Amino acid sequence: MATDISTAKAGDDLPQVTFGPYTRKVLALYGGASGDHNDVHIDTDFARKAGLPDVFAQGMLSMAPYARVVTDWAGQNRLESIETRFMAITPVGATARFNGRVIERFAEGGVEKLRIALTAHIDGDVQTLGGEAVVRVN
Amino acid sequence: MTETFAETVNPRGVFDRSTTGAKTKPVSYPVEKGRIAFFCDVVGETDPVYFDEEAAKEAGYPGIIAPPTFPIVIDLETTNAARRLGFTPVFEMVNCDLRFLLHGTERYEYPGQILAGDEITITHEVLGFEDKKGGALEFCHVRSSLTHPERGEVAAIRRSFVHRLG
Repeated sequence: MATDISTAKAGDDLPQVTFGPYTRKVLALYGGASGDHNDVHIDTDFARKAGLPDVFAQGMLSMAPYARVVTDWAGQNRLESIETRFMAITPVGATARFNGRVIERFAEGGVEKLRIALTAHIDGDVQTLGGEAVVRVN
Repeated sequence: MTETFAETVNPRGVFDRSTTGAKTKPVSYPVEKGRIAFFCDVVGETDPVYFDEEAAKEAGYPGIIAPPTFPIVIDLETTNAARRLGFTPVFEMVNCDLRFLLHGTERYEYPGQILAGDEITITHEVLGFEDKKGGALEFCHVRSSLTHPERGEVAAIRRSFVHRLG
């Protein structure tokens, strides 16, 4: 377990973050909090008319706890960039876990940095998000 | 942005490829600490640097900061504002079609911090288009720049819109 960023090295795991359940209330509130008013996330009637089984979570809702894996550990002032691919939707009722692992320690422009691989999985071990973040060590 | 994409032709393509290099009209958004607190409550963020002025200063920030995915709020609310103002949002500019649209990738870069009380201006630039899988997938790459009048660019979003056409 990587507890100290100054000595962290490739292979070290970051503390896991969990989130959920993704209730309809959470999806509706995130719609309001984020400004994403897309019906497929907040209106079950609309979703069913569109041929979907139900509303599903906004991808960006999951990117918040995904980013928190890094900021809880390193602090936001060290975060240089974070990216994700959206690999599967998160249905209503799911819970998710978010994991990070240091994959590279490198120097760029005289600044020491860590590259961190990030993942999100929901129940049934379905991967929903995947990508990387870069943090400055000092 | 120096990155360029080769000009491509896809007979099935739906994006308006003549928009490469186009920029949206800048729209500004006031970052309020109440909105940051609401956003944090919903996404389960409990670090006090996002809602407690003293805790933020103790952690070395000039004041309350916005969490890492808060640029999406600025992006979406300025899109809502653009509609009110009669401006064309970037995904309409490039002709995103919801029938084919997949959420591809999001990349956030942080050259600075967004602070409660900031007035942030966002401008979207169409970087270019790509085809994959023999034209079954077409990509539109957009870069959104979030700037503060004195501190310059404080965050940027790189996003790919994807149409599944096959």
